Amino acid sequence: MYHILVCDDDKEIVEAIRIYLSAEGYQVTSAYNGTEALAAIHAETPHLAILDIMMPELDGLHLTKKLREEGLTFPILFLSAKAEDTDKILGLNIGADDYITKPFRPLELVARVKSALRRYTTFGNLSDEEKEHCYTVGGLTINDDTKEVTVDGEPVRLTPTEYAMLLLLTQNRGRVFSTEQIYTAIWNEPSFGADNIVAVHIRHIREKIEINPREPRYLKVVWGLGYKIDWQD
Amino acid sequence: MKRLFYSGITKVWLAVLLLFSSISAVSYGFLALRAPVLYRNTENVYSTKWFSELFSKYVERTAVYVRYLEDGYSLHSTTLDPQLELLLEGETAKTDLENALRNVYEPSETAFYYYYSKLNKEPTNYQYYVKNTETGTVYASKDFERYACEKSGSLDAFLSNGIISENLYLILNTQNNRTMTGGGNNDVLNRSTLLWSMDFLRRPLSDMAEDVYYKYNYQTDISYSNKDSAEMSETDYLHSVSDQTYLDKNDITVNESVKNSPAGTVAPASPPKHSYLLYAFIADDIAEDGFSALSANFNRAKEDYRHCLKYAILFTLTTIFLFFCCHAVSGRQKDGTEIRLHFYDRIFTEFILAALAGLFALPFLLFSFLQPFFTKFIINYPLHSEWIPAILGGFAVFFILAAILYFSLVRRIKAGTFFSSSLLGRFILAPLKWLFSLVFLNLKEFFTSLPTLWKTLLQLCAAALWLLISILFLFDSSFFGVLLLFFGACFCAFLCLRNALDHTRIIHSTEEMAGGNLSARISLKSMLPSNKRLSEDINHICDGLHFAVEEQTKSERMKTELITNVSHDIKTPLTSIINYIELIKNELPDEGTVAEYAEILSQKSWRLKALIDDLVEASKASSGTIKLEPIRFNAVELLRQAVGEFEERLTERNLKICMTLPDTPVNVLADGDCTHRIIENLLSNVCKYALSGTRVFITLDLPEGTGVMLLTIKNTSAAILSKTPEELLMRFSRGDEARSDESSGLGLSIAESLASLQGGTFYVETDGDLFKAKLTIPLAK
Repeated sequence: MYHILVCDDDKEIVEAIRIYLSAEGYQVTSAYNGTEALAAIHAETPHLAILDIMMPELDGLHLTKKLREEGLTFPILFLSAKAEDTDKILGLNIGADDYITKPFRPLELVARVKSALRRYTTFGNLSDEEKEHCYTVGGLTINDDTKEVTVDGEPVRLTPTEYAMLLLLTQNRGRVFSTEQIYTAIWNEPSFGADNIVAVHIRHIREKIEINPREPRYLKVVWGLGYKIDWQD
Repeated sequence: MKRLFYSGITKVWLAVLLLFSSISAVSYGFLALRAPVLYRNTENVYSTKWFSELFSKYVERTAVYVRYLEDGYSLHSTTLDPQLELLLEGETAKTDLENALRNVYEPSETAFYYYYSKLNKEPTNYQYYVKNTETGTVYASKDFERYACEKSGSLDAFLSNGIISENLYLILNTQNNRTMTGGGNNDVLNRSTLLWSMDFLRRPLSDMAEDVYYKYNYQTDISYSNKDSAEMSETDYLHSVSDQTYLDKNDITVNESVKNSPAGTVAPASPPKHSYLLYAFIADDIAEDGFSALSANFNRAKEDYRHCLKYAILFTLTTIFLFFCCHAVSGRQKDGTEIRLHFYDRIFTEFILAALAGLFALPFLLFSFLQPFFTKFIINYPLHSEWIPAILGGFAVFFILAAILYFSLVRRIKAGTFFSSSLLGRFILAPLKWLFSLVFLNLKEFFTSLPTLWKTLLQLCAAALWLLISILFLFDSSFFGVLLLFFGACFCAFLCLRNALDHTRIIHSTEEMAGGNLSARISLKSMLPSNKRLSEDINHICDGLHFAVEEQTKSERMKTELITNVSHDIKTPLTSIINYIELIKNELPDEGTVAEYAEILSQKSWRLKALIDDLVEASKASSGTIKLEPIRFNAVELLRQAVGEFEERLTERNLKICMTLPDTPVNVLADGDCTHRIIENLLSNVCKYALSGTRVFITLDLPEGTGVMLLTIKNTSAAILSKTPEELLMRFSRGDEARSDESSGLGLSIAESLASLQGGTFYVETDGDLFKAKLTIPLAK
């Protein structure tokens, strides 16, 4: 039974989140400003915290910074109406694990909470032998022996082509592959046809491994250059 | 420190010190100059002119007196004439006795007694010792031996050594005409007097003749005979001597040896009959007579000179230093910068100069008028103490006036009003300058006010005239014509060059302005007047444009900010709405009217979110607040990726994509995300508005020579395209008026803004049902 702290100055939003998370079986503590959240965290350290950024008294950024400085490592999810890229980067750099913009789909929020919790609780407990042919990027793990792909511990079903593509990208984490390079690598023949088959496959993979395919966390599109697997810690 | 230096108190102190110092310098300088007159500037010879004159007189008397004694006159055999006694006591009476005294060459008892009384009757500081070396007879003052023994122990020791340390001494040897006085100074004793004395000693009185006496031309006796002897006191005598000459160059001889001296020529023709040694000196403390006072004065003068010279140098240096200090502070304000002029600094400079010249001329005039007085004043000692305040006062007034006038000039020079405050400057130079500028300015104004055409014509006329004159001179085969032609050509070339340079500058700057750099300005430095006016106007136009653009950008930016803030405030309640609709949907059964309503609410709330996002993006794109990160990428790759993203949606709408792409990569320089956003918007529009079951043509061209790539997306519209392309590109403009679809109407507007931000273009064309969107992006070099 995981314990989750939800903090937002809008009481209705907190209540809605509480309802959704309770339905998933989490124990939820509510707080309505930064100071309350800090007090609640000090009273009982939660397994995960969902924090609004713009809050009275103590905002989410400062609160996160303070918690990280205290040595608390539990996942923190930011919830904010600020949708600018700069805001997201700032939030993630300061020590948050995820950044969800308002308004959000309740199910997406739940999925992200689950993902973060799984990553937090099961991350890195693979044996050395298993690691031999295992590729891990964030919560994404590919076991080349068993041809199994898991995201945050949840198995994902991929077609052989998709698997080959994901493996290629994961093995070369951070490197950008153009569609042509991917095509040549997977089908072992030059891509003469002005085809968008690679893009379609990539989109399918994104839909399977990402919580929100439009905002991918693993399989990222570099427009005009290609695709890459990356993870922002 | 600076404030202190330039403060009023400092100035007052400096002025007072300068006055004090300058007066001191002059006073001590005067005393120092005067002191050598008193004792002829060697430390060893302590004499003054009249001190030595008196001494000489006494030596003469001694010589005469000793002659009388040698010739057998005796005091005991002399009966004192009561009339002589009266004369000696100071009673005035004109008797025959005067004649007797005047002519020393007629020996008389009276004269003898006169000399005796002068030398021996009263105690005196004049001490003599005369020895006839042949007979050994000694004639000496009463106190001589006692004094000598006190000073040196014995008479012989005193005569050989001790006498030299006396203030003023004389040793005469009539055998070889050698004399010796203190120090070796030239005019301590009058040489002719000494010769006369020696001559007198050597001969019996009977040998003496008046003609011999006059042959020697003894000046002292001339003066003596000119005066009324009965009325003559000692002081009067001294004054009369001083008045004549105190520096008779003829008399100056080195007194060590007469053989080597020019004065030797006046030696008597007859060989000496007797040889005498005469010792004489002035003692300090034997009696209270005229000599003691003179000695005291002399000693004082000696001391004065040392101090005066020292102080004169010291005060002169101080005065120079203070003078420069006063120079530095004169006229300065407290902060040391500005020059403040007093009321008298505005008096005409010439007057001040004249006053200063007069002030300096005054002492010279006074001196020349009062020269006798000055001569007397400088020579006479002691200084009359009642004159000192008057003299110092005079100096003070002189210095104060001189300083006021002089520093007024200094201030004028510092303030640069030296000429402008002068008569010359104000009434001659300034009007000339004014007249010149008036004529020049008027001509200039007249010329500049002429229309350009007239001006050019005038210039051409001038050039033609010049040419004509030159040619006329050339016909005369004159070198002057060549010179004129050469200078004319040089001037024309200069003007052409200047004009060309100005034009280059104007063209360069206007090109820059036209290129969008509204902060560019034409530099007006050293331009020809006509070009300057043109440039100024262009600059003004650019100023206005710059201002307008700035204003617009500012308002655009404020609008964006407002929209961003508003969107943020809308999103928070929207979150609650979306969340609770979802909760309602969860509570409701899947089927039924209410469930449908809830579904509509859900969809519309998401539409609202999309609308807000698009609105923010549109405003950012149009105001240019989006941060672009241009990179070099392959447009073909991007197109494949974008189309791949829409694969499912297009298939859903039963649309077929026909792509015509170049085989080679098309590298462009742009922001990948922005470019994708443009294509995404276009494809999204295609999905929304294209007629189901038709084909969509996507072509990527590289039009030659344009340096851009051209992307064309063509599709058949489902609805009738009733709007012009311009209307379609406007914000909130959509393909259908009913607005029932999920479009925000901002897609094309955003695409256009983003394209122009990246230096590309975006436009749409309609042809019946055919909808064409064209995008150009600059190629990477």
